[in-house]
Amino acid sequence: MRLLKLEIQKNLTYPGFWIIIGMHYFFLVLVLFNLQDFAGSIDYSDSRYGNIDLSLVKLLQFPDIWHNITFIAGFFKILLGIYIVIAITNEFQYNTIRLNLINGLTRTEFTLSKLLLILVICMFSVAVIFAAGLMIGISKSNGLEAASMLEKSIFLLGYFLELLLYLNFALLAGMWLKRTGISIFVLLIYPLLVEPILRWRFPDNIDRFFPIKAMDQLIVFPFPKYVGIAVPDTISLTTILIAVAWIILLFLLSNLILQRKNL
Amino acid sequence: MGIILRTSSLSKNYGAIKAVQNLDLEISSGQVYGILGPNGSGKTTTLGMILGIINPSSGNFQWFDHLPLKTALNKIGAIVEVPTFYPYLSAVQNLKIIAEIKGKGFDNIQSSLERVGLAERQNNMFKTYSLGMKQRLALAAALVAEPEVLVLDEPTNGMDPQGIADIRNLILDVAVTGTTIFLASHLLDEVQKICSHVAVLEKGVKIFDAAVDKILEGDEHIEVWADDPELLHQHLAGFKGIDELSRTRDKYIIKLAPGPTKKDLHKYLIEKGVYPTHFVTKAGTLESKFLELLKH
Repeated sequence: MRLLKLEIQKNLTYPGFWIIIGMHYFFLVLVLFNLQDFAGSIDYSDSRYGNIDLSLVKLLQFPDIWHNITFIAGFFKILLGIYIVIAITNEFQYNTIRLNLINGLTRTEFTLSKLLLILVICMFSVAVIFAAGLMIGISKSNGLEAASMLEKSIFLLGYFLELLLYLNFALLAGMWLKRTGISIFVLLIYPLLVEPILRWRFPDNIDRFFPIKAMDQLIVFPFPKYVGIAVPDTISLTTILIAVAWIILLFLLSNLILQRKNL
Repeated sequence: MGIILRTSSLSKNYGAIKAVQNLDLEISSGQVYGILGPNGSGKTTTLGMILGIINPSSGNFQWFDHLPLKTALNKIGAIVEVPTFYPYLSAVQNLKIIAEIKGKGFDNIQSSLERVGLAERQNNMFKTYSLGMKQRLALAAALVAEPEVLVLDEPTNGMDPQGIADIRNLILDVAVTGTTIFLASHLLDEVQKICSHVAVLEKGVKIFDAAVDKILEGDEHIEVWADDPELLHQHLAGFKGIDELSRTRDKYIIKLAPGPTKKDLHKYLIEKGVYPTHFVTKAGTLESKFLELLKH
């Protein structure tokens, strides 16, 4: 599609793209493949750990591995988010939006092209996690049965949705605030501070409808299960639906903001 | 011949500021239409509205007799205000993006760059360009899709005299091919040289519009001088067809009445034994007309 070609021309030639996106995958892969060693450096005999067996081998075996690595991968999404903010605020700062619009790109097409960029990044990220997961999992497993390998791979979908939601949020921030610095600030502060404060008063039932919480629900903190605390083994349909709803809403908001702007 | 652009009561307010008020314009195919006015008169806002980058407060406009804006924009090449391009990309790469947006191939990129004189610097990044080069790239971008209409906002902005002349000639070349041109400027001189029609804006209101020829018609005057000014004066006084006569240090300025021609005057003077050393026809200027208009 021509919108995709457009985004390729705009982004692949931008040095910042390679630096930031490169950093994301570099560190992600680095950490994932070195989890072993990290676990090995913890002294299990220390009484603090009680009776826990934190042998990471189990963490990295099928089928648990999907939940675990997607959770860890989630920490790196900030880098992707920053890039999306940069991609959109650049268009405002250099006023190249005007260039696009004057030459016949509609505002909707413009937002759509950014969405395409986001989708490609999400799909590529899932592919990377999937490949990493397979490689690590196979190296740690005893038997190889295709069925059990892919069990719980629903967390890959969760990761996809998590990124999609987060990056649409980044897009919205950039679209709304137009300036790089402040947009990145909001991208960091809202999930860490603002939404938790907003959610404070509400019980869990209502909480899960907030966007960042909805995103966090997709892949919950997996490690307590090794201490005997129950942790969801899969992602409920409701969670998925709420996430999808937010993705759509965030995108429509971005589009709406653009429709109204004078340049 | 069709109507390329028509606006009806087009208006734009920014809060209390009325940038454009009830603008009615009609541009026909093949015209070089100038929109003239001091800075702040609403020219750029008007261009912004018809190109879809500024939302009108009220009124409407139609391109090509009711074509949807997106389709219309495909036939239009435009420059608005300061040229904006991707700074980290070269001229060629920027034009490729534009061609991609317009759904056209890359065939014209090379020739457009040559036409505006940017062929040498085409592979340097945009951020290394001087203002004149940026303006040229903007023009190349406007031309790259071979548009039926060119919309230019102060195309000679920031250029040196050579550049201004180059752009003027380029515009005239393009106009000759039948492309309709819509041009905004505050340079009366340039407008007079290039435009076939002009509309004058002041504080967002159109105070005047007409064909340039019509405006200048009847504004001609003749300058005459001779070796013997006294004799000249004497005989000029005797010539029946003079409407206005005034004198500066080294010439007489004459406005003829309708009827007698320059040739008649010339013949008369020679018959009377006065051989003019200086006999020049001067066309009226938009500048004088414009200043006159703004006084009302």
